[in-house]
Amino acid sequence: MAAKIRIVMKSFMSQANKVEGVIPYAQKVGLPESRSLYTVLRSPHIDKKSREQFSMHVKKQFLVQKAETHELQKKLFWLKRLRLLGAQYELQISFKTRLDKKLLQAALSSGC
Amino acid sequence: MRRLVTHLHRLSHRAIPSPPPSRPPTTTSLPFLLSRRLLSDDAAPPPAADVPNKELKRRLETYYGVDDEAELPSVTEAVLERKLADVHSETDDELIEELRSKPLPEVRDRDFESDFEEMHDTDEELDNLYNARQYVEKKIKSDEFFNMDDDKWNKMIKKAVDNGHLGNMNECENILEDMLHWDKLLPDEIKKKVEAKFNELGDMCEKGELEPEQAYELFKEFEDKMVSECTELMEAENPTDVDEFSKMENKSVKLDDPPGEGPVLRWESRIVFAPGGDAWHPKNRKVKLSVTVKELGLSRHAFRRLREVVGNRYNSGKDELTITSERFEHREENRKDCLRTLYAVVEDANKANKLADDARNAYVKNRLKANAQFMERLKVKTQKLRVAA
Repeated sequence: MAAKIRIVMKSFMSQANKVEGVIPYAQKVGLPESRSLYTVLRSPHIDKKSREQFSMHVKKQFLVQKAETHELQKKLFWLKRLRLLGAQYELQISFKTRLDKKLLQAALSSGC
Repeated sequence: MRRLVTHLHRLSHRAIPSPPPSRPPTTTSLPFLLSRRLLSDDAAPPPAADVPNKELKRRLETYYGVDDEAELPSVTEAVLERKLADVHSETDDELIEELRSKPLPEVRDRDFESDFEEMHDTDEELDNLYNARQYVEKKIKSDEFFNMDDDKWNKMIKKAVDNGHLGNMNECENILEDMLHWDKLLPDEIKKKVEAKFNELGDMCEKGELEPEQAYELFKEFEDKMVSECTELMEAENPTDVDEFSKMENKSVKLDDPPGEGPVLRWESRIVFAPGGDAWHPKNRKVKLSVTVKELGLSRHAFRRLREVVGNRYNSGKDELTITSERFEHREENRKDCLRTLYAVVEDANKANKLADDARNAYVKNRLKANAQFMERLKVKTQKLRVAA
């Protein structure tokens, strides 16, 4: 497994049941839910005590999928195509390549 | 009785068109009766031969007594005659009903039993299955080999070995295994030699130059030579040293690394898919590159200069240099920029070698200039050289 795709999914509705269809065979970790609470006045003029409260609940899920370096392009394509509406994906892609030895030697020799 | 009735039905169909030939008088009587009825309607029919009850019973008992159905025709004849006579119709019906309800005294279905016995053969029959446990217990006590398992087998073998009946089993097992895998014992060279010799002798036999007995003896001698040669080879071979295996095990190869030579570059990039729609996100352009500095092959001075230039980007604990780029809009452009930066850093680091040489030379010159005696000798030498020129 030369490459790894880490995904952080954020959405207002729970997407735990739909992940299997989009990203099969992935390790899953549920992240804690984050809330933003807002309290606003109902009236534009007086009546300060009359207030209304709102909250935004963001549900997160962390997924790890392993792949080969040559598969990354395809996996990215399918992730982009089959993604769930209403969910934000943040992908962190890690992979490895090799530095060209000749160019490195040239750089080393030119420095001298 | 059911079989009798079925046979009666079958034979009743047969008997009217073609009566059995074993009774000639009845054959003469039947057409006579029919012709009489057809010809003369007014005349009363003559009475047919009547079979009394005792005679019928005797015939039935004879039929029951004999296993084969040899007596069946006589019984059917009696029944037919009684029916034709129309004298005992009522009593016959009653008799049939009576006999039907009775069970037969001895019925031996030899055909079925013989088939079953041929198909299935059992040593013993358990009449009462509820006592299976007792049966098994008796068997275990009486028969030593009943319900054999590994523990029992091992104990028996151990006893035999202790008493001296059986020798060491390991040798036997080794011999059996060698016999099973005899192909693997011999090296290929010896196999080829033996095969060639065999073919040669076979050809000579076919041509008639040698008799089979002589060829067989020659082959035997050749085999003995091959066996001795094989033993010599086995003795000559030295076992492989343990150090080789340990050395092989010590080598640690990371299977994750891509193939080829040169330092490994570890890339990280982020891609953000917005919910619904294809909005672009600034995180999409950032790229991170990590490389192990040891793999770059820098000299000591170059390494030191690199550390000074790079600063916090170098992690001494992991010996890892991290380069980040988000200068361009596109991720691939930023990847190129990371590589460019890496090459530039390496080239700049290598300048340190020349700087170090220059510094060393300057230091030496200064020390020499400070020495007065050296300077005087130098002046004298230069003057002599000028005069000579």
